[in-house]
Amino acid sequence: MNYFPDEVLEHVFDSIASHKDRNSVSLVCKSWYRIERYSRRRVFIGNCYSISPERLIARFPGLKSLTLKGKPHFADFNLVPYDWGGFVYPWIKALAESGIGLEELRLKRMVVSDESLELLSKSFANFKSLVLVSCEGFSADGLAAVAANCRFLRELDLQENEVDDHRGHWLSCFPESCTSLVSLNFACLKGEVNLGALERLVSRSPNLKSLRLNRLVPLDTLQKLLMRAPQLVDLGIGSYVHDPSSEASNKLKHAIQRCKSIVSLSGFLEVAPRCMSAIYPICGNLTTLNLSYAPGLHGNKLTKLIQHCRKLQRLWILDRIGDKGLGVVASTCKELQELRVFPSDPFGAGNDAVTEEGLVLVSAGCPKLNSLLYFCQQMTNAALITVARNCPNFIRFRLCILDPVKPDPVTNQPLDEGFGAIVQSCKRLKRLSLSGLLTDQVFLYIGMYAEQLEMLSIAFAADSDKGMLYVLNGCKKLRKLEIRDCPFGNSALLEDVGKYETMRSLWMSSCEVTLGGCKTVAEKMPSLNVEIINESDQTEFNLDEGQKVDKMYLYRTLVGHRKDAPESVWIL
Amino acid sequence: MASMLGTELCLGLPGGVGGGGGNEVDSSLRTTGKRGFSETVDLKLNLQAKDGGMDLIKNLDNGSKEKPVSAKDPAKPPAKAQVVGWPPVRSYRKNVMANNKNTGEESEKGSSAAFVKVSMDGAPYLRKVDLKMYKSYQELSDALAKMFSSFTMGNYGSQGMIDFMNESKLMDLLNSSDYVPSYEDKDGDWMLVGDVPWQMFVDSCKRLRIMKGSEAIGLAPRAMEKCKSRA
Repeated sequence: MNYFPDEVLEHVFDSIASHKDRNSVSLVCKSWYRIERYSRRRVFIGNCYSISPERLIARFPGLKSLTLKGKPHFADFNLVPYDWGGFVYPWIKALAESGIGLEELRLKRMVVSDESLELLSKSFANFKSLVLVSCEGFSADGLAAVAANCRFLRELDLQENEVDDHRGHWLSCFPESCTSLVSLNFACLKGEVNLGALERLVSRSPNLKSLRLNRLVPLDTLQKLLMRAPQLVDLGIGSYVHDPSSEASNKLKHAIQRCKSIVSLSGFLEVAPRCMSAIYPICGNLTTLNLSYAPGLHGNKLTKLIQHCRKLQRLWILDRIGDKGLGVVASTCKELQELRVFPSDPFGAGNDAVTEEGLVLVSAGCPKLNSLLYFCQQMTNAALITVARNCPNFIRFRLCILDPVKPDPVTNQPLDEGFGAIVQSCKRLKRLSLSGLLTDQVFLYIGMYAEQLEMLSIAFAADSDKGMLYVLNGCKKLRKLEIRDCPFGNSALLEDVGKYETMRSLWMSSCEVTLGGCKTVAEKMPSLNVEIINESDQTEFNLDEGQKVDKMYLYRTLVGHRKDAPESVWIL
Repeated sequence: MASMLGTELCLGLPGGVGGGGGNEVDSSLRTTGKRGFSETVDLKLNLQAKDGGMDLIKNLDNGSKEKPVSAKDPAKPPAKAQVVGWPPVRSYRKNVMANNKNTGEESEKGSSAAFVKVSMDGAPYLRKVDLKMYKSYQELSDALAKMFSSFTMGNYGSQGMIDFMNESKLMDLLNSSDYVPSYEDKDGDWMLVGDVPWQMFVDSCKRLRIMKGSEAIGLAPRAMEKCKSRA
């Protein structure tokens, strides 16, 4: 190990990109640990409370790119209080004070204040890339600071954030000297932007490859932008309403046809279905298509569009497509790898929904399918068994039957056998979400067969603690387990508390675990933070050990209890 | 109903005789009195106005009028009622789809929602309510009262609307230590709740803030201006 000079090893390590591999490298010996640590540029932290910014900085002084995730996944579904935590400010402050040359920051489910964005924009001279996914807490003012101060900004990517933006002047804050933009995504903003400023910005950004507009960018601006950026690879259309016979429509067609590099298309946040023919010329090149925010597109207009997209690898769509429409996908999109079908009525009326038929058709027609998110009206065991046989390559399989405890409507049986077939057939399965009527049996199958499983989401399932025990004992690679409304109690929780140290986190809400059980875990495992979340209006926690806990979130950490928890969160 | 646990810390299943009960045959589970998951689900789905889930729980009594009944299965059980966080769709997506329905070409009557954030001065976190679930200011007031239990609404008068023409009544309300609701309208102005007809309020309200009556005094003159200019 000591035969090579450090520079050689560094050079070798440079070609090792994956976090897992780099972590392994650092464990080989002390000198490799040292060299790896100084040459590490990118760090991924899946739970921002598992480590502190100070320790991160101490270990990786050459850090350039940081990815942080904050709130637990179920926060997406309103199960976590607004002020639970996940504040990015302390991270930015520590990094700024340390002199680290941060260039890239990617955040998911974190609270980002305008103050944080301002500090970020002023502290890192070479800052290049900001990606915010499902974050909140900032307004257009924060964006203005980033635009104004980050002189070499390449990427500003805002995905599905809750942004307070009345005034759209932030776009005008990009200085004339800013010509480095490669990616600009503001589709989630609700406010108007200065259209003239947008046009000028695009005009002076020759490297712009990805542009996603919000709903308030009108068609004529879209046309002008496309004329100025025919090199675009990824386009998100805001408003797409025009009269197909008009001059504006012709101009748009011409502009679109010039964009021969577009492989990814999304948006259509406002759409008139009869105008889709203008898009056909570029459909043949598309590998990614996201129409999941375009409820206006359905029926013939939608299927006609899809029939032009023979190279599609990733499709995000609303359930309005129907089983028949999925049949069209199956016969057209032979390269399809990822399919997501979202409910057009998220409040569950399920009028325009898909069923097991659509999924079976896609599995038969698209053998490369490996990633699925499917919201549907109903599912049968027979269908799942067929899907498992047709597509043994699933890495992610997430099924959500809109009625949470619905059995197989044909046989009235639970869906244990169907999901069992999936885990048995798909040996590379890493992520699984279950729904429908399920007993302990499905968990027996999961524990037995899902050897690569890393993330499991369970709701309204199982009969007893056995279910949870099968999973904890069987799934050796499990990292994240999230459970709601299942009859799992202390017996399951406490069987093997050491297991939780091998995982990132465990969420249990509306289960049968009690305060006493949670306290026991906390006592036995000081390396875990065990958080009890109590959102009811009572100001004091009921201290009775037998009291059932409404929400528990536990995670491994190297830095003990966090100091920023709100009143509704009690860390045991 | 799950039986009460003894005061001793017990690692067995709740309601069970002792530890290790989980390894017994299925039938013993039934006799432990532990609530089966199906009962739990039914209880959950029949809950009304449960704490921590106001924004997604629909009150079964006045719920179904807003949603089209599925044509596929007219005999749907009450399980169709909404449960907190189900279906698992991101709030961002839910809001966008709800707004789309309000303003899109294909808006269907009655299936749209009007979620607005509700903050209360001094409360540690915000909530969200769907204004379309209520038919009057009184209903909204009751719902908000349940949500923020220390919140007491001022006296609203018989029609649920503040009488703006009566300055002294208004000043009494605003001088009290009671809380009053205010809202931000489409123009970005902060108004006192109750000055316009209910439906107009639902259409123009973007967010709600419950503030102390004494702080709301600044709103009243503007509210009265708007009201007078409409009269």
